[in-house]
Amino acid sequence: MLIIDETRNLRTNGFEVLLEYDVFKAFQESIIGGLGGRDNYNTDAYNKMLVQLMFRFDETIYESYAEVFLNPFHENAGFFVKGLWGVITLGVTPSRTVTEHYELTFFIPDGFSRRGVELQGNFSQQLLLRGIISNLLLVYFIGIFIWNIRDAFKTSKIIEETKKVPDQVQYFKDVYENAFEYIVLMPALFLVTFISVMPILFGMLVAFTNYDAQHIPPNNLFTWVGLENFRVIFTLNEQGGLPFGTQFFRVFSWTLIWAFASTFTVFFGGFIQAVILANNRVVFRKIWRSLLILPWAIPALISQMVFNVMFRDRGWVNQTLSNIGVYDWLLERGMLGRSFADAGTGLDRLLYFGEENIQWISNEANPWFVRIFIIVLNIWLGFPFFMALMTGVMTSIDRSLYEAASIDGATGFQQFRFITMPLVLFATSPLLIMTFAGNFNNFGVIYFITQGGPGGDFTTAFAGQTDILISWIYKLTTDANVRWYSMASVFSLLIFLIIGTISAWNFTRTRAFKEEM
Amino acid sequence: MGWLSITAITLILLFTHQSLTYQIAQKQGHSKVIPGLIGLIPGFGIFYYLKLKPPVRPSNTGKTKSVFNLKNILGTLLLYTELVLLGIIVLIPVVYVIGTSLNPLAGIPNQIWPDEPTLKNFIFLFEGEAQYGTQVRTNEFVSWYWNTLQVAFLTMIFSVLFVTGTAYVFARYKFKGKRAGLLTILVLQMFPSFLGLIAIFTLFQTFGLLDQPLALVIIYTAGAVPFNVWLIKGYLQGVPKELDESARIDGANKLQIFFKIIMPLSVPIISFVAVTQFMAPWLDYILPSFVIETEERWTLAVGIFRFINDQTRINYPAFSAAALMIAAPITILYIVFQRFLIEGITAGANKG
Repeated sequence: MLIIDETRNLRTNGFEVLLEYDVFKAFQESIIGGLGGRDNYNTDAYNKMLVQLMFRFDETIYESYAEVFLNPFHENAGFFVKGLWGVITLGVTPSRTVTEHYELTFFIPDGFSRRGVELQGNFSQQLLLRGIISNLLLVYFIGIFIWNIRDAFKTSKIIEETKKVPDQVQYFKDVYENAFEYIVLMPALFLVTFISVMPILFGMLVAFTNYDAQHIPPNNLFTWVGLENFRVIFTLNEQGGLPFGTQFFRVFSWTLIWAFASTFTVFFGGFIQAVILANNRVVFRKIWRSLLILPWAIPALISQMVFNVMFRDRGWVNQTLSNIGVYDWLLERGMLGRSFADAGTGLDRLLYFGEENIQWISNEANPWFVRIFIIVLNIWLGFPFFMALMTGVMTSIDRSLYEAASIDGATGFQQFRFITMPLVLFATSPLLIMTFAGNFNNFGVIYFITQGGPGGDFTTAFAGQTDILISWIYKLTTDANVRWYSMASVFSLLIFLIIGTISAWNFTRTRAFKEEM
Repeated sequence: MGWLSITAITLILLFTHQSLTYQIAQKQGHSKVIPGLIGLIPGFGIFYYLKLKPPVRPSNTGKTKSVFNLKNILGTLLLYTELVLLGIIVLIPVVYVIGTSLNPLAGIPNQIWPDEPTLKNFIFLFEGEAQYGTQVRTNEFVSWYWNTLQVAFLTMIFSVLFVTGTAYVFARYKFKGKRAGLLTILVLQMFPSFLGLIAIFTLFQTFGLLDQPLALVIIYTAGAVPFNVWLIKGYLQGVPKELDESARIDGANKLQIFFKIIMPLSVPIISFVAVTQFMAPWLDYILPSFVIETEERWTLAVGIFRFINDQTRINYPAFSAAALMIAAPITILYIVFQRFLIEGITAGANKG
């Protein structure tokens, strides 16, 4: 009986079947290996053998495959040439399944089924990666080459002048003395080039391709598309049916609001707390400080996950609030207990907490509630650092300033307003910009507490209501059902530009920069 | 919740009392610690100090009365209300995690403290198997811990090796390309390493490193170079150059200067880098979650997040127990070295 099973293809790299496959060995493998019984017949090997026979019989079919799969660049080119070819073309051959050998049905005995033999295509992403690596290496080699020539030139000059060939040991000693810096830097330079710079370059290049769910090599190759992805975003267009353009601006503006609000609240929260703690009435200040600094000392990842558990719809916080009667109070005011459509207008909508429970992190109807909640929650995580920092600054302020002020008749508030505040803010403002950059990319708070939700399916291009750019990128990259690498790279590139500019500008104002440059 | 408000009010009153006692004692010129302790005895402290003879003749005796004006008392009360409430808010999640870790049921815990506390969850983590209700659950906590420990240790060693030498060269020598190098490092340190996630994945795929925790060490080490080079370079610039020069005159070569002079002098900053690098892998989720698939090869962060996020593995008490075990040592370390750590972070920002 002939069992036809065309659903599962046999995967090979094309090379093997086209050139190297041994018909007799395949025959042995498929039949003799199966002498123990029909169940042990090796269908895969048998199908490969059939393909081989087919190729031998019909030159034109063989040619049609060999033409694309035996690409001279892909198979035979050297490291650097193949690298260049890979970057330029991103591969040319997608996978193809050979089915022509089905014609040889009469060769298929009982117990074997016929199966398509897939010739594996090019992996565009690996070609791109190898290409970048080989090009970076090429730059290194060119550098070494130039150094060689210069060194030879110098040595020849020395020989000309002194009429003596420098001796080897002395030469290496000189090199070691002169190039000590470079020798020490080499390992770190190498590591940074290939592990830090290379991925960034790769990401930047992917932004100009169409590497997405519909183009996953080796079945569908991706290719260069120029500025197409950027055009989609800046003309508010769709790509692959997903509204990336409009969603980008929604997510981007929320990211900005989030970064500003969280930095501001944390900075001034910390400042106020530092002022309170500095009050003369506080006894055992160090103990209070150690208590209040706890949220900073506890790893943020852990506290974020704990918040996620505490604030679930049926979590402990809601249970407690319901037990102490807060629910009843909210029900009375209509902030709970009805659907969003009935919640009224204006402020009532903003104060819509949920239907059955307070939906701290899952209120899809009223995302602003969740967003504001996240900003407030973030104060817990962030204020202690600034509090501790500013307490330190305050204790280092010269006491005589206050004495002079009080002699001149300044009130306590005036002393605070004109001495403490300017000094503290001045000393800590460089950190403000760093914190802003940090919050702009604060993956943890968003991802571990809300997972970017509520919402976030294909109608919003997988961006949830609280997703900031970085967590959206993470989703686009890692979710097996999404995989929109090109857009993720475009957003990375934009973050790179924004944060890079801010940080570079900030850095040019620091003392270190002025001393160094 | 009734007990909580009673505790809060009691604490506020107690601390206000303590503060007033302290203020009186201070006005009389007593030492600082003892009045603070005596002030914790309700009702007693204030009178004790009012009756006690001051150790030094105060120049302005009349002022003890100013402690008792209404404005001051209300101010103290308000101050302590804020501190106590904030303290409670800070502590609630901590108490909740401790309580949950002792909870015998695997479901979402709705009590801050379980009725029947048990150490079962800790045992579950170490033995890898336990019964919850009718179900038998398993986990690979011990392997996660071991993986993370290995990664953390190697990352620490390699980071310190790569970073110190590089920082030394940047801090002490002038050479061609220094400026470009510094600028590159500066640009690189601004980026979270996972922006290159696809590339790292492809890299691991190409070289067969997927699903191997130790491969993470390469990424962490490379990621540590830029920021920490800046940090150590800034520190080394504070070490006087004259030391190098006198060593050079005594015949030391560049490597000897590094090992005999620079290294011993920069022990504090190197240990700061070592500690932060050791801690990083315990708390990194993104990278390992992307490149490691097999359960027993996960690192801790990945493993414990699955306890609250993966339908088939949900186990809140186990999560809390694991979270406690990770967080407790780090938290204690941070509290003890808070000053040092905050200075380190600030130095990184200000000196660049």
